Amino acid sequence: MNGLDALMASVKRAVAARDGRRTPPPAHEPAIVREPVAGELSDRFLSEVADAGMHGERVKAEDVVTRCGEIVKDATGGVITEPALLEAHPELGDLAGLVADPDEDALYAAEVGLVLASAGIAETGSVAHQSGMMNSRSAALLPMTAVAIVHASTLVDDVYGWFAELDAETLASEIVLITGPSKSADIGMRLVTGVHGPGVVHVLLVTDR
Amino acid sequence: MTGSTFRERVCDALSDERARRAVMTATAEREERRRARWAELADVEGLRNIAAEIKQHTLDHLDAHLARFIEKLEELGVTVHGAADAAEAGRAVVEIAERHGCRSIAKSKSMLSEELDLNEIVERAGLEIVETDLGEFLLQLDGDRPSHITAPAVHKDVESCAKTFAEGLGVPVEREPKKIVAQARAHLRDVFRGADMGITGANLGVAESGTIALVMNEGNGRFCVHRPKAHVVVMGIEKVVPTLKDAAVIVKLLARSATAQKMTVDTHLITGPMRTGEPDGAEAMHVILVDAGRTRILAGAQRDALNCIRCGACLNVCPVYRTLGGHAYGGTYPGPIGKVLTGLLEDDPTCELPHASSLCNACRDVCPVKIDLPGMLVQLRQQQAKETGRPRGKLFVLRAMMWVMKSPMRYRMGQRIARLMMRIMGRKGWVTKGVGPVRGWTKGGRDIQTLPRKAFRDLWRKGRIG
Repeated sequence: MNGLDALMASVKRAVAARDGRRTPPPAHEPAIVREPVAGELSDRFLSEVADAGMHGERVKAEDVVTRCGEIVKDATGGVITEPALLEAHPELGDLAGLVADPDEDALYAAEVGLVLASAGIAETGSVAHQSGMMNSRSAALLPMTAVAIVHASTLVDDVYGWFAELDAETLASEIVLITGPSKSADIGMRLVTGVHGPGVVHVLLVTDR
Repeated sequence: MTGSTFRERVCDALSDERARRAVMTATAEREERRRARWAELADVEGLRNIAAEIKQHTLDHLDAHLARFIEKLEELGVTVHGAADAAEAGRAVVEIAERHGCRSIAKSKSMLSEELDLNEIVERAGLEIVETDLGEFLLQLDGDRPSHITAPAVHKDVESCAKTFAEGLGVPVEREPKKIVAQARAHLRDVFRGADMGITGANLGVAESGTIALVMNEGNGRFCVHRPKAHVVVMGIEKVVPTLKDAAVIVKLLARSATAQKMTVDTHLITGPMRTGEPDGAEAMHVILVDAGRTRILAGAQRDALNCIRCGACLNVCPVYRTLGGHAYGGTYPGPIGKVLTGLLEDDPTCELPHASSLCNACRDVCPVKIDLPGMLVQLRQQQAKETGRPRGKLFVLRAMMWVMKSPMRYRMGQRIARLMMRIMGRKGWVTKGVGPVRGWTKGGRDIQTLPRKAFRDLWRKGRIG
């Protein structure tokens, strides 16, 4: 018997040894588990983005490239992105400083990473980024500055609602709900940002596409 | 913190003024912020009830949910291992390293790995392992141990952190936390880049999708699965929940209770290794499911202790933890949950931690999954009393107190006698050295304030109050 079979046998024994009480799975009352958002989703989303310590703003689709250009203009170490974002906004391909096909050194040297969010959550200001053939974990993680492009059509009300829409059979290998810059209070309980991941996070909410 | 008995460790803790101040401030602040966060939820009581029922239900059918979890993981190409104890878990990690040719490991924070002393086992096998959570990294450099579940270095102030980094990394001493963090960031970047294995814990395992959920603020968990040859998850069997919606309920409560955030910076869902055509991720993924005493607890009377989601809220609110800090407890888990878990995990029915509580119930009131910790502490005390026999001296004193308290006149008399005795024994308003039957009580640093000269009831009667 291998370790896993032995473990499962002990679990079975322990479950069987318990008293007769067997709690059924609880009902998830929407009035309890959901956090309804009053008013405009995008207003609440941007206010929560700011609350979480990120820089949020509304941007028109045609202005995305200009705005990204302003954010990356001092990034002498280079800018990295992912194919999914370039597909949604092809004009970003001409961005100054963009490193095409970065090798590992270029990934680690990059100062700004641009990524396409798969969703935004109004309740908490969270931005979802997922892995995939067209996505780059590196672009969302390695540079000190991260820029997440969130399309308004992907906004959802709340965390529970976001989870409820996931399909257990088709989940990406990685999804990160990003809510703020990387931070720690481990040194003398004083808050510092940019510990391992991005220390500055821009959230561009694209409103008309 | 080298005391070998609980009493010695308590004395050590009480004499460390600097650590006490740090812990007191940090816990009070966190507790206040947690309260405000909870109040923002639509129905926090309802949510706590659902969370508690999710955990109850899962543990009542743990065999079925674990079987489903394992099946999903294997479908995703994850290799699943079972470990009965620390030695088996350590062996599994070493074998995985051999199989994939890994030599250096970047590790993110995991309380279970602390419990198992995993680093020591892995290092003995000749592998290099680096803690990458800032607080844990600091403690690793120092040869120290975490003293809080979610703020491992809460007992250290800026100055001692600065010294540790400067000595450990051979860099200049910095006074500013921001600069100290920059030193650590630069150093740990190289660690991540050079590591060929990443080890993480798991805040949750979702049975229906085979997902591992990690909540984190620094981002190191994402680095551990960024591009290693192998990602190894070390998780306790009690961490599984049936569905993604169940995970959502726990996530909502976890960040708010642990660090008073609506969401932690990273809520990280990992579903299998990197897939074909993806540019980055772990090439292979392994999950080690660990028992280490959990099935024994599951079958026992304190099974609800397994409901714990490790938020640490009960530590922050506990008057004993706030005074002592975490090291005095001597186990991996300090505070109220540690008082219950330590003896159970170590299968030590004589563990004295259940007695280190005033049973004030604060921990029960803040537990997001409503674990009745005070009730369990009483149960554990009763079990101990049954097994070891009741101490006669204590029983005599308790009976005498009962007799005194049953009559108002005897109670008044008792108060007078106590006031007089304390005045005789006390120095500057404090009794630090008892005589006769209370000598043992004050042994080892315990003190008590003397009763005031006049009792409230006397002042009231004379009209001096009100």
